[in-house]
Amino acid sequence: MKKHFWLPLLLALWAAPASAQTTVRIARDQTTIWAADYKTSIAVVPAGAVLTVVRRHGDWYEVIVPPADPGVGARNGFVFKDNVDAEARSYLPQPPRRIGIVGIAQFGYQRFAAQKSFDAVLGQAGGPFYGGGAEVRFGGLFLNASIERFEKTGQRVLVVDGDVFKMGIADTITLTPVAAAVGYRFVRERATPYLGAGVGRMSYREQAAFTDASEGFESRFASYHVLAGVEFRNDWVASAFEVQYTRAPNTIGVAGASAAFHESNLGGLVGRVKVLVGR
Amino acid sequence: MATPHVAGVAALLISQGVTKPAAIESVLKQTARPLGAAQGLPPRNDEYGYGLVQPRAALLGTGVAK
Repeated sequence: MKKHFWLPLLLALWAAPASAQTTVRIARDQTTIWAADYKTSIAVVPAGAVLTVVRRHGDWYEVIVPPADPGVGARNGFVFKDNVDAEARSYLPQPPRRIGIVGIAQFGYQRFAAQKSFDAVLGQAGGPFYGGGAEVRFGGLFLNASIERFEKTGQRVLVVDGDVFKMGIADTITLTPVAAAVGYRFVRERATPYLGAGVGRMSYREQAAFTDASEGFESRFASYHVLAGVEFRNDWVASAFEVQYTRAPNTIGVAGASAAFHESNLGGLVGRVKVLVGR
Repeated sequence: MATPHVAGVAALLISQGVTKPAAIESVLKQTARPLGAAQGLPPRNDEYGYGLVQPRAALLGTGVAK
């Protein structure tokens, strides 16, 4: 019993907001409706009687007992849950479980975890990511998938004892992360915060001028991420601001500038703006 | 004739802005192609030193990952 002490409270909280104007059907004949002290009987009702529920108190429903005599006011009484028809009890309010599909366009700026390596080659430790995706919503839950792209040209370098020498040869880095995430939205009227986590596959390509494909670098890596954001809705269009931390460990760092700087994580921290269409 | 070749590569590196002697030496060593493996010699050995100087590799530098 002690183990489930929270259950009545949970049921009460669950039921309270939407219990007005809901009804229960009495399942057992000669069911007693009790007063608030749960000792005094105030009515005995036949099976099939339908009573309006005021609210739920743990295992009990507070119901309106129709007056026995005209001119006498209705009273509130309590009926035990087991005396109520199971089907009728299904009135228990459910949170909205509407399935929604949302299209997403997104723009973000990622600060790479391999800051020194990217700063050496690209001249900055981050860059813009553009992309889009789709999200399926089921009540507060969401599942989304997205694809983004980053491309920037810097120049090849020599890194010797931490000193960076730029060689003046163009080096283009293309990063294409494909990711999926699940999470929960704490639905509010206008601003909806959300949290999520997911996995992805990151395509990384690096090609320098004056080199053939065999001298370039191209590979795909697994990644995982956590994210948090807040969505501002305006009917069918919404905007969202999101922060995501991605890890793609042991993906670089074998050769090149990343090896010189002992950096092996291709992930980073992204700040992102999203435009969502649909609901 | 090894010295003029190595000196030439060093000059090319200097022309690209790699002016520190220690950096030039390090790049030449790192990018040299080791010789003597067929005779069971280690990458750096008394027969061939660090190996055959590789001007293209030295001047190409590296990217982030390679």
